Amino acid sequence: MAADNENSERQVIPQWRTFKDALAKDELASPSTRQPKGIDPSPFIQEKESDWKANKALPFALDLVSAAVVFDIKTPVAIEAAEFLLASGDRVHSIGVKLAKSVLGIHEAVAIEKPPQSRIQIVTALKQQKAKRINQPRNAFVWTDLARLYTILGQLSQAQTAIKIALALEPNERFVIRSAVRFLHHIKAHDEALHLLRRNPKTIEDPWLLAAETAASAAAQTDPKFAKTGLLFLERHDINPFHISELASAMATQEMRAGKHRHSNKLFAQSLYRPTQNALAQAVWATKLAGLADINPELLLRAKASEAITLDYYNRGAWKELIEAADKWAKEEGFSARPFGIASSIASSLLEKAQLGEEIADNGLKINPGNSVLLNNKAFAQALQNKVDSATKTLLEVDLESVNPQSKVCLLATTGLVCFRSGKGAEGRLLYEKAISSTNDPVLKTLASLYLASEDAALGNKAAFAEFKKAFIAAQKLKTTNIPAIAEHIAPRIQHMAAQHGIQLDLIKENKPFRFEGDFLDFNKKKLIT
Amino acid sequence: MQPGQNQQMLCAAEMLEGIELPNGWKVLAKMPKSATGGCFSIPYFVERQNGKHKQTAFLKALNFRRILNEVDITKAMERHTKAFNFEKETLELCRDKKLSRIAILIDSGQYTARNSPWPVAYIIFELAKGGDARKQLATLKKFDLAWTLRTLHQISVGLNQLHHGGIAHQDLKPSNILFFEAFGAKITDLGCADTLDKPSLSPRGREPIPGDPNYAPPELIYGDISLDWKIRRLGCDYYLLGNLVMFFLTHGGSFNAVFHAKVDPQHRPLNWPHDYRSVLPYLNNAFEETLDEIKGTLPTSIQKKIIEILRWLCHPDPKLRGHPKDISQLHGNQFNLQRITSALDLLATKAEYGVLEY
Repeated sequence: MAADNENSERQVIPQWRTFKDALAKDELASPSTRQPKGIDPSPFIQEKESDWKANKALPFALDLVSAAVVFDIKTPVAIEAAEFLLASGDRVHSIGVKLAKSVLGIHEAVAIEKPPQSRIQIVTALKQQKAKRINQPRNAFVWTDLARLYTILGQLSQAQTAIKIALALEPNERFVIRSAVRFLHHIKAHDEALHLLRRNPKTIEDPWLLAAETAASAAAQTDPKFAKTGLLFLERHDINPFHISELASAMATQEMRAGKHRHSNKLFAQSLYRPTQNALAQAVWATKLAGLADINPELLLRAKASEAITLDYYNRGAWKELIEAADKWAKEEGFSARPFGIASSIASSLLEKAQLGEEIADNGLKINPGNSVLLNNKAFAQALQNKVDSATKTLLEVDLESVNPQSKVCLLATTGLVCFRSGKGAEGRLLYEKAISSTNDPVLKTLASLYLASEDAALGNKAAFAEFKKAFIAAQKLKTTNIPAIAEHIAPRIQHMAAQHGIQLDLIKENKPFRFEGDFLDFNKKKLIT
Repeated sequence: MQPGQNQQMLCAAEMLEGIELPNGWKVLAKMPKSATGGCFSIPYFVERQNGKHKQTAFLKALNFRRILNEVDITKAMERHTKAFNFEKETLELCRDKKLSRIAILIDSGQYTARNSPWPVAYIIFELAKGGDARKQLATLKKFDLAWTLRTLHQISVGLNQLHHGGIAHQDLKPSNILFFEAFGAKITDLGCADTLDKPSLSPRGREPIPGDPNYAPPELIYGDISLDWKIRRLGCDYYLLGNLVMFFLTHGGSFNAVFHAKVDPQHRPLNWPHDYRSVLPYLNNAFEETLDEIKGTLPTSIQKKIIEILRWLCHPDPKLRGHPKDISQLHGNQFNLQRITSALDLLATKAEYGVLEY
């Protein structure tokens, strides 16, 4: 049985971008809308203008242009001086040419840096970053970016060292702390992540860190410490809505979990005024759970929120599209196992592409070696292809001590499947039954029951058809998950087998292709997004 | 009399041409304003018979008419007379301490014109025939590495002399570097200076940015004023010296301009309402990128050393300005310019002997 974790918890854990990407997405700006008082440089600019007019020589021109750049002032005289510099050709220093172009608004074409995707690209980027680290040993952002690359390559101890250095250099900086928190979650050190946020004096002053603290508290299964401060932030009018989007989203998730759906939906709506990609992904994830309307896919595409787009396809049952979107998401957030988990699960369970499922899980394991979800999905895909020896080998790689209860259920069920496919039906049944009895989660119970009945039915066990019908009916009740889709996907095959045994199941009367019906939650139309 | 009413009137300070002052100086023509950098004083060429030779110099007369145009006349009067006296006294101090790289105060005094109700106060400096740094560079036909490095060394020596005398210049900029035949560069205009003896009591000492904001260090632009005199005042001078390094190497560019262009708009002073410490990580990053860009434009032979010097002089964190050894030593003086001066001297000597290629 494949695991994707997308039916259970998602927290607004900070996304780990490169420093440049975080800058470009305005995530490192001041949340405040207050504007500090500026300096009036005009008397000094005027003096330089008159000096330039009186002398008309290169140093005077460049001196004026430099001053114009420092204060972002474009007076006609400064423009004239900039033009003079550009017309002077080789006599002007290259820095002078650049400054003059800046005053004239001539921007040189800069090649758009794409995040490294292939392993070779990542290794090359790592090499460059290591060289940068030698030149800029006190730049915390260089160390953080280096840690990210190490994490993508699965070199976690090197990543940890780099993160520690970054934190030592800038212990109170938003980007460094959020990246460190994301890294600690990646290595499952949830308590350490929470500790880092709670002991930091900046956390109560920064909505981005408050959001991370709320999410980290949920991940560490404890209550957030600064919930009141967070609520006060959400009420403030001098804060740019973009900067409290994740905080609203994290608090909305907390309220949703507490069953306070009205307040939660209000907070989700607030998180979408000017959403971050993370808040969008959270809202999409929560649509079914919180009873929100679906979010307009156009809005997601505009925001280029690859995770949100993937989750949206997941919600809408657009499985083929989901595989593509997850690939994009994996490239953006290269170190995360989640896009690989969801894509490998869907490819094997719903697209009949077990081979693709195995490949995706394998790719994810290169970055996240030993990840139990990915190992489970790989073994599941291998078992579906009847590669039972490989599947057994894959399952043996799992470190059972570090596996969470949910993954344990999936692993038991997958081992059961491997037994079924290797001709050990009785053992397989026992393992499935153990998986079903070991959890109270209706999602896992139903899914395991569906697969058990399906495998039993394939062996010609007539009682299995009735069991499948029972599980199928139970699956239909789990509307907020993808279990009904999986049940409906398996049902025609079981129905066909049942008919061969002269049993009428009446599970699916006709093939219902997916079509989204209903209203989108288009905050743009409601003028909530500015 | 209302402010602005005397726009058309001239005061005695503006009519000194042709006058012979009591101490023997004859006032010649007015100088172009830019050379002085001040709005409240009027510069003149003056000459005096000194034995067989005629000595020429420049005179700075306090312009009361401009002061009377200010809204609060009494305060303006107090401010500008205080500034004038402060500059005069500081220059006298420099002369007494024989600071060779500071433009010398030759004379001072006051003159009362026949029909004027108030006297004209003036100070007389030695005249720089080469003009200021911009003018000097304009006369150079091509980049001369040895001359550039020697000039930077001379300025560093001048600043070091001031710092040893407990004086922070705070307005070190191209127009305040004068060039003298054979002797080279000297620092002038101590109007924005502050002294260790009477910290913040100088006329411009209480202002957040005492000098020209175009060259001012980032901490002052963001309004972060250190309570430590050395960090606030000498740290500012270091940054200004770094600006001059860039000015001479690029023939007019300022470090501040390149640095400013590297700071992301969301972290610029007008978009950052928080304290300086919180923006510093982003400025550090911009600083490193600035150095990377500058490095690529420098002659290979001086690349490494100049980048090192710029790192010592222009670090956005004033606590990290200075030579690393001076910072790390337990009883070291962070703002001891000696090591930086020596580094510039060594570079200049190497360039003079043709060891450095460019």
